[in-house]
Amino acid sequence: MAAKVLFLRTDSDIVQSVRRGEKEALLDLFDRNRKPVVTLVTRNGGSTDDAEDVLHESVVIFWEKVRDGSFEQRAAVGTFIYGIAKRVWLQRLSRRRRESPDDGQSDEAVSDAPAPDETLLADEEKSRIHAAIKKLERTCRSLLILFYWENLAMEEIARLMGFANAQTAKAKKYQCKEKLRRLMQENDNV
Amino acid sequence: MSESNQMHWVENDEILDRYLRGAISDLERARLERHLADCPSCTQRLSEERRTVEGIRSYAREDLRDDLRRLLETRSLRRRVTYRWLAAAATIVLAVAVWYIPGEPPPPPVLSESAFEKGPEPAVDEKPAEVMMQPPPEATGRAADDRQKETPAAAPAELPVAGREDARGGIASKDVTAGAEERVEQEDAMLGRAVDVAGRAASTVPAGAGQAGPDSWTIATLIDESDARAEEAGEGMAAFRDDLKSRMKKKSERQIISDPSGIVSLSQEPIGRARADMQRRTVPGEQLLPVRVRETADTLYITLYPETLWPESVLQRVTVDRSGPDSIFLRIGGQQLRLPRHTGAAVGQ
Repeated sequence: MAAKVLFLRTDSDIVQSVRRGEKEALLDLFDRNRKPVVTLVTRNGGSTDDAEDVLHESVVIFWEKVRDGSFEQRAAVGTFIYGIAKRVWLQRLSRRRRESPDDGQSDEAVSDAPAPDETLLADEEKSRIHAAIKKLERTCRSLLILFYWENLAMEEIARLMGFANAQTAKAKKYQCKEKLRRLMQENDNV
Repeated sequence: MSESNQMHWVENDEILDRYLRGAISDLERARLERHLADCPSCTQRLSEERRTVEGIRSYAREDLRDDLRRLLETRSLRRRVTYRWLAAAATIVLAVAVWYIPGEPPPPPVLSESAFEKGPEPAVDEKPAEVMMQPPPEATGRAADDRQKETPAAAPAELPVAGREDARGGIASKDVTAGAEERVEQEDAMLGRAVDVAGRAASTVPAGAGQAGPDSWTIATLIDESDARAEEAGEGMAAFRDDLKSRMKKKSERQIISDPSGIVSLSQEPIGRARADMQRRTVPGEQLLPVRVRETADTLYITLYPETLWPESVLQRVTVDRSGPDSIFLRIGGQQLRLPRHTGAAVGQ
């Protein structure tokens, strides 16, 4: 199958693509928003690499918002992503300033933004949990992601994953979470 | 309510899940929060649950970030391959174009006809300027197989949800672009050989020619450098072509190009380091290559079709024969093309 052409698509098309889980939309979002985000970051004390990193994160957050239904298409997608990028960059600037107080960059240009919806976990704990998740069988991993990240209903998960019904999927989810809990405890003991 | 009863109540996964997913009713939320205020162990349980869920979410985010990174890398790799194909085509164009520089008759053949074990000049059927020769069955088969493979962007379309591919097809999300990357690598390797062929055919000097320029590998080296430069510049192919063309016009380099003869046996050594092992021999009954020939007033364009992977057997040999001032004979993989000067025709046999 040929690659899909993603040019000249409307915001609505992009949002629909994300809702359908089409990952080519990630590239489209990346390309469309690169220039403004690079300008934002490089004019506020960051490098182009910083900007690309912020854009990566912003696109992923946008994806997540669309997928879990919390994105309401009131503003243009570009404006929304720009807003996310601004918050992400603010958070990073604040972190940098905390880490090296004498070398803090001015972040006044973005200081009105609230903190981004990023994970609240410390890096160490995140790594610990990620290591445990990687040890899970693929079915469990998918099921937990569909339920907790994609916010899908059990009926939908059962349909997608080929379980007999929502109850079966629910029982499997319980088992998977218990297994994850055990793996995390094992990691702690190690 | 006793502590154990409270635990039982909070251990109802469904309520915690609804709470953590923000899908709990106001009434239920109020009840739960009231309960949590009086139950430290329940609060502890909820806190653990929240960290686990947050860990799952951050894992999924990183997975998606990896997907985006892979998509970008694959695209970049594909662009690089495209540039290199263009470079290969440009090399052949420019190598042959030297023959068409007005007022510059080619030098006489270096070796006598008797030394060249070749049959009589083939009969020629004149055809229109743009001739797309039929690819050999092998090449066609591989091309068809190749077309059936998916591009990296196409793969996710069939696996629409970040985690669903795992669930449905047993395909890890990290495999999204793996097939495409493999294909790109294959193309890249194939292209490397094609560039080798082009560079050597254009830059090899027959033994005894006595006209070698200062550097027989100028063209091949130039491709490498210019390719990297083109990649940096993004749109640098035009500049690359101009640069290559101007360098090709230097007398010494033209002499190198103007006297290629014989068959170059290829090795797998990197461009710029390999030595062409020239052997004079005929190659009867070999395969046809998908080559497109187009001639303008001063340039002969020979395009190697990137859509079709060249059969390995074809890539083993390239011959650039010259039989006189009126035309050249190009033999690629045993297919002989007569390239008459200024007639606008290219004839495959």
